[in-house]
Amino acid sequence: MKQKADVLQGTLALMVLKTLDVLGPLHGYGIARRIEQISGDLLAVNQGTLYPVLLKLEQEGAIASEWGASENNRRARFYRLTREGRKQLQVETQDWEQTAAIIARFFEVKTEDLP
Amino acid sequence: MRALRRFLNRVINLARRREQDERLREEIEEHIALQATENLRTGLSPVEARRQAMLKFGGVEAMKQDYRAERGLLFIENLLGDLRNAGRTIRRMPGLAAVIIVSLAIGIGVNTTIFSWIQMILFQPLPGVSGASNFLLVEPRTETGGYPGASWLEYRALRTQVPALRDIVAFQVVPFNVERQARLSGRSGNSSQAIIFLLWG
Repeated sequence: MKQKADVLQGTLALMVLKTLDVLGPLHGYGIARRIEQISGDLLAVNQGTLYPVLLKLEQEGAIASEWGASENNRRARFYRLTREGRKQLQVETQDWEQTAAIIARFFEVKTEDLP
Repeated sequence: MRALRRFLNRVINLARRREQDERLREEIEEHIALQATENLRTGLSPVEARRQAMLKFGGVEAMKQDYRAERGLLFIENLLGDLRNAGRTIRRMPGLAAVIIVSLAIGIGVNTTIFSWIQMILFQPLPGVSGASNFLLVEPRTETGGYPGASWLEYRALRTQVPALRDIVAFQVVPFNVERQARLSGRSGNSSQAIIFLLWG
């Protein structure tokens, strides 16, 4: 159970970084909406799980945050990607693509393909 | 590097807990408000819109726990909380607290005294002396019970010819006076005693 949560948190962090990279500064709700639109049900039930991930990324220096005004004209915390976060995104994207490619190859292989 | 930065931030956050709690509270509120506005647009009633928004956000308390675990050093935060709680309890019941503190102090004091005494008497009888039972007094006696003493030659012979004794120290009784603030007291001691006095100050 815990392991699944860790994996989820890892992918979520990558999605946050990519979202901020594409869309620029966003508040928590904006990020959640965007992830929801693209990933479907990952955040459908627990949008709240995003906030510990945002905090972790901020503590690591990958993103920074400051107060701004939301569409409701209320105070909201806006997150943006830092230079370090952009670097981290590049590295993690490569890692992720590599892992995904390896796993995909494993799934593709059938018994008759093996020598 | 990332881990170090994260750790430093956690330490800093220890001092900013209230401010950070407030920030999270505001963020949650704003998140739910935005989601509720969105839900209103789809035709839900205001109450239902807010309810749906809260459902979608998920368990707030569980998330706050995760958030706090990520933010700071939970062990230290809990420790500080316990200390504050202890302080409050002491203030509320000072009499009981005083009885407990005094009992503990007496218990610790008595134990320390007894164990220091045992340490001193049983385990380390004299500072710098190990194996006090190895000390022997070699003394010539006459048949009539007198103490004739030993000559320098006898001392030298014992020193060189009795290998069982690791070392021999001779002493001679010399009368001397100890004077302290013009009060005289006659003492007869020996020179090694005089040395011990010097050593002991």
